[in-house]
Amino acid sequence: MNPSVLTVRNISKRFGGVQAVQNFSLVLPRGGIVSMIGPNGAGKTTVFNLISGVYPLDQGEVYLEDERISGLPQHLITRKGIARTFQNIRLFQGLTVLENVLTALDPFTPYTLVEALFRLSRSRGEEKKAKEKARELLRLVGLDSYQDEQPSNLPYGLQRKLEIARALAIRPKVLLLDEPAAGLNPKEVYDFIDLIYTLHEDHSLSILLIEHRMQVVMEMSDWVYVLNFGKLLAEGKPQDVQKDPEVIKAYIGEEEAC
Amino acid sequence: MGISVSVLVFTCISIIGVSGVFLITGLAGMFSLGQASFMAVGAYTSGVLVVRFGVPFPVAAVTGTLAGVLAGLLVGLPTVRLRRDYIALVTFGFGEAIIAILNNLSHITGGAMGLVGIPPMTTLPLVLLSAVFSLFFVWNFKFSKYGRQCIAIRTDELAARSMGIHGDGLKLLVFILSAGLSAYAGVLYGFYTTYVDPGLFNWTRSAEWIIMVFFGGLGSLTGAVVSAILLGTLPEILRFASEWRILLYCAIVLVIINFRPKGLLGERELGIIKKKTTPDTGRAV
Repeated sequence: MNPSVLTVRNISKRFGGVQAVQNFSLVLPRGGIVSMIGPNGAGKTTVFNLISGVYPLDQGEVYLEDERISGLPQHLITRKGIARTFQNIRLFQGLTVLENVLTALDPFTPYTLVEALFRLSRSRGEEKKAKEKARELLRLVGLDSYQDEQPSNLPYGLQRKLEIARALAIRPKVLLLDEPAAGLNPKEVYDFIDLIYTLHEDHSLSILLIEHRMQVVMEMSDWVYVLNFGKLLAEGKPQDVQKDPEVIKAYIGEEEAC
Repeated sequence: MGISVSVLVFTCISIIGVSGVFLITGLAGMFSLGQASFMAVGAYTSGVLVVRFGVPFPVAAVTGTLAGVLAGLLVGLPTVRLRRDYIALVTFGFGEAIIAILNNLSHITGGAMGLVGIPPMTTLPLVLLSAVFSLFFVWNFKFSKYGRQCIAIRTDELAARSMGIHGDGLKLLVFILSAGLSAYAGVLYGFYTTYVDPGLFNWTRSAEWIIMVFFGGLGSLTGAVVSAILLGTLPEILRFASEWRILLYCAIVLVIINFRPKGLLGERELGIIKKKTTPDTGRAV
């Protein structure tokens, strides 16, 4: 079996005159937690968008296990097993907390249009099963008591958790987390790290993380990639990267100023 | 037949058309200004089949509806990939093109003189039953995985795709279904009035249906029904005001939209049938 679950090979993306990502490669080992760090505008989120198929690649390839996924439409890449959360939370307003999780289960729910239109017993049965499954996921992240709320009524930290529950609903092999601890208070950050560890262990998830909080990065990741101006600046174990003079110059020095 | 019966029939036909607009605009967030042209496709296909070729009414009705579905597929295929505002433009252009074709194919359609001699087959029970069934289907659609995914696409298409939802496929499906509903409304219309002309199906009718959906609350099917009934009968109720009635009608619509930007019911559904309602978040749509 291929030891790496996600392999990114020499990907590049240009937006007009800006080379957002240049010849970037990355390996996410099965069951690993790998982080990407770098100053604002370094291209981290673009890498996520390229992996998940939001933008087409200019160059390079992405493999999930041994299957090439680059070039597939976005929804198929997701269904292969790549789930993500967003830097600026993107929940579905107008749907309840439970329904938000259900939407991610829906593409896998096996009833047909005719069964839905006539409300036949299979569609009702499958709906019930899906709701049960969605409640289970909400319980996992500790949101089961909020299932009928509107997501906009939840505090920020809980909205982040809801995004994770929704991402888990697609039964991912790889979870892409885009600044999941941004905007959380210190207690919420601890909660959050615990949650990620639990998921990581109980569901043997492989996680790719973009994060600005060094506490989270240093504590959680097995391996760190540092991006600057769309290019790889350094990579290594968290403690080694932290000491790299290039990285300190480009990133950590800047971060301390904030 | 009395005026009240004819008002009832036209209101039911509106409800069928509006339930189609509810699917496409209310759930999936696409603006179709060509919706009435699908109605024309249904009315003319079935009408011509009966008048010119002597096809029995049920066969003509089914064919008319299927023709609408096909037209929906043809317009939908290139359209659903576009952004919302462009969808409105393209469907508007398509609708006006259909009107032009109907006007020019005068040896088949009767041109601007209209298609005359359609037998009166649409009865009150048929129309009532049709409206009830349309609502039943649309209601079930809304509260199934399909409806949920549509709302997800309407609120955040990028996130919806990232959850594995096939955005374009689902939008095309909705497009086709709503075209079918409009076409069926057209069939009923033609076989009630026994006469159709192209001018009946221009964009103002599409716009009227969209107004009804907004008036009732964008996410609310029961709201759309209430507003189809209210706005459908309002011109009749205001008949005493003769030429002022259209002005009054517009004023009432403006007042509602101004003071309740989310429409009469917002996202909520009326009635006993369905569980809890979602609270009004006060967010303008």
